[in-house]
Amino acid sequence: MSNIREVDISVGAFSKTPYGRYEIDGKSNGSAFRDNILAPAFKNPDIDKVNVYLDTVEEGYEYGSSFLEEAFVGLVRKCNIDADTVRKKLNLITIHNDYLIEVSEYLSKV
Amino acid sequence: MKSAVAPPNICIYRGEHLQATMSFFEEIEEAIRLRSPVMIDFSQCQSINAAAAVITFAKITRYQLIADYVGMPNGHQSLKIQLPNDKNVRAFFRSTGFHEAIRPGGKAKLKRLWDDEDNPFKTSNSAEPDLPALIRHLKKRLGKVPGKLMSALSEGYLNINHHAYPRDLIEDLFGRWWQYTSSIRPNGTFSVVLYDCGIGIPLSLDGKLSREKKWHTDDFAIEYAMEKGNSRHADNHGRGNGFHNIKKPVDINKEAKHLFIASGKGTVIYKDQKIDKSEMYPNYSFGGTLIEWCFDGEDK
Repeated sequence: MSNIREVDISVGAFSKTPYGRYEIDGKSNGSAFRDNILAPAFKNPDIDKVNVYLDTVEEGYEYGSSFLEEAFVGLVRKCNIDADTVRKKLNLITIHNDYLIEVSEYLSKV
Repeated sequence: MKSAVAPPNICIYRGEHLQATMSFFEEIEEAIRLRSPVMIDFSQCQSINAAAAVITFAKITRYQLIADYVGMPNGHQSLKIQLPNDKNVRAFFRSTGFHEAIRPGGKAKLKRLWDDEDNPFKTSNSAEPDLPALIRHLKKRLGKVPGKLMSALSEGYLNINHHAYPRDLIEDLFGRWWQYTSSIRPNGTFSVVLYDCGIGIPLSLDGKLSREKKWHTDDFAIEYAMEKGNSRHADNHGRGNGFHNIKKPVDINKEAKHLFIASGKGTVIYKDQKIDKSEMYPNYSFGGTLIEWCFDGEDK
């Protein structure tokens, strides 16, 4: 039996078309997703793994780098969460490998 | 009433048509500056290509919005349209949706255009664009939408909203972009054009480039902006990936032909993951930034 404590997050439950970085970009922005949804899970010491389901958005939608960078790398830059903690806890679930590569690349440089 | 006379070939790609096309755009700009009634005279027009059509659409609707905003006596009706004499060209204007896009009208016309999924001319300045509607529109026009085109467009809208315009611009124009999605032509080619009437990439990067380089041309500034990680911010701070998204549809799709960018007084053509051609036109300004993704429908 696994002792790993996980939480599942669906981006689609936040917005079917996430867009932009900041509040000025509308309510579906990366900062709002990060601050309201991701950060509490990453800051919670009782959670070991944060499963983020990316493919729950509108059919035909594609993530822009602004949203991805602000949401995931912003955890380090803006929420003062250690980069290693983010890398260790984050589990992106998607059939699109390019999103995995992109976020991983951003996190490797932060 | 002033006249802005369209040349026979409204085209920004070919040197032999560029001067007359730019003069035509400048005549519309002058009418905007002077708040003067104007007749847009297409009577001699024989052809108009995608990029030039979007710029014309932008200039005309910009005039119409400003005319209503500043309270010109006849508002947007101060701009009249003379359609082409040639009936085939006239029919082309109508069948492509271009006439509907430029005809007299204000914000209500632009809303109708937005709601009309069949019309390929779109404009918006919403901070959070209606992405589901845009996805539906692209699918309807193109069937299978090239990979990463949607994310390229949405990063383009963000760039326009964040960087293209001065903050003191009137509300209806701030952050505004104009877009055209061609249908798939008989030879399989198609293109998507995104344009803004902002300050242009070279000017938005001027401060940063001036600090880093002693001298630069507009085409160099565009090339600089296209490099991953370069933004107008001194330390970039995770910014500067937007252009990476904008290049991606050309990088990853085998049917992609090239990416054409015109901004300030420079143009750059990007293909096969590198700059193919870079030019400076000291005598002309494109009046903002134009990005065109071109696809040829043939395997590379």
